[in-house]
Amino acid sequence: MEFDDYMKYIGYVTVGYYLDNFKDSYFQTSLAGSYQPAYYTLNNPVKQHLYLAADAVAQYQFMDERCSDEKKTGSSAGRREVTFYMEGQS
Amino acid sequence: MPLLEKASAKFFGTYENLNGGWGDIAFQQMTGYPVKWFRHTIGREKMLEAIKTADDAHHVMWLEPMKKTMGLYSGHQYSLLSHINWDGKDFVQVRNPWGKGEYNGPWSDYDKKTDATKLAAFRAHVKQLKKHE
Repeated sequence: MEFDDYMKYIGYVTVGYYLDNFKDSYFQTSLAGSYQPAYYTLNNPVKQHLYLAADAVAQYQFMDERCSDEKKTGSSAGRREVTFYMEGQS
Repeated sequence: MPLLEKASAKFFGTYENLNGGWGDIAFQQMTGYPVKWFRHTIGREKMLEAIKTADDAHHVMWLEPMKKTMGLYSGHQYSLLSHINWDGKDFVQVRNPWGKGEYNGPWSDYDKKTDATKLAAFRAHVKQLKKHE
C-alpha cells in the first residue's frame, strides 16, 4: 500500500529490535528438516522456561490436562491460580 | 513450536490465555529484546525513516489498523514486510499472518482503478526485488 495511505489509515508501526538480520537467521537443521533460529540469547525468557519445563517434567507430572480449579482444559480460571500437583496428588 | 507454545502457556497460566494479545508481548517473551512504537504524530518523514531503517537492518515490524479499511481489519495485527520505493513513491508491503484476507486498496492485486500499465510495471518491480532478497 502507498505510504500516504498507511499514514492515514494505520498510523503506527512497532519495530522489534532483535539481532540485525534476525529474519534471515534461519537455517535448516538435520532434524526433520525443520527450521530453527540460528541465534539464541541468554536472557531469552522462553528459553529459561523451557529449561524449567524440562526440569519439571523430570520430577512431576505437570500440566497434563488442567489446573486445580479448572472444570475443563484451558479455562481462564487458571489466570487466577495456577497450581500444578506432584504425581499421585489430585 | 509446540514446546515454545507450551512454555508460553505456562508463562501466562493456560493455553486459553494465549488466544489474542499483542505482538509486542509475544516478541519480547520469545526474544527478550525490546520493541518500539512509532506513531503517526512524529510526522511522515520521521515515520518513513523509522520504517526504512528497520527494514534495512531486517528488523521485524508489525502493525494494527486503527479501523477496518481496504480489506484490513482493526483488532488484528499484520506484518510489515518491507519498504519499497518506486517511481518516486513510497510503499509498504503488508502481510496478513492468516495467509488470507489481504489488503485490497490501490496498488494491490485487486486494484481495478489504477492504470494497468503502471500496475504491471509496479508488480514487475516488486517481483524483481523479491528475487534479490
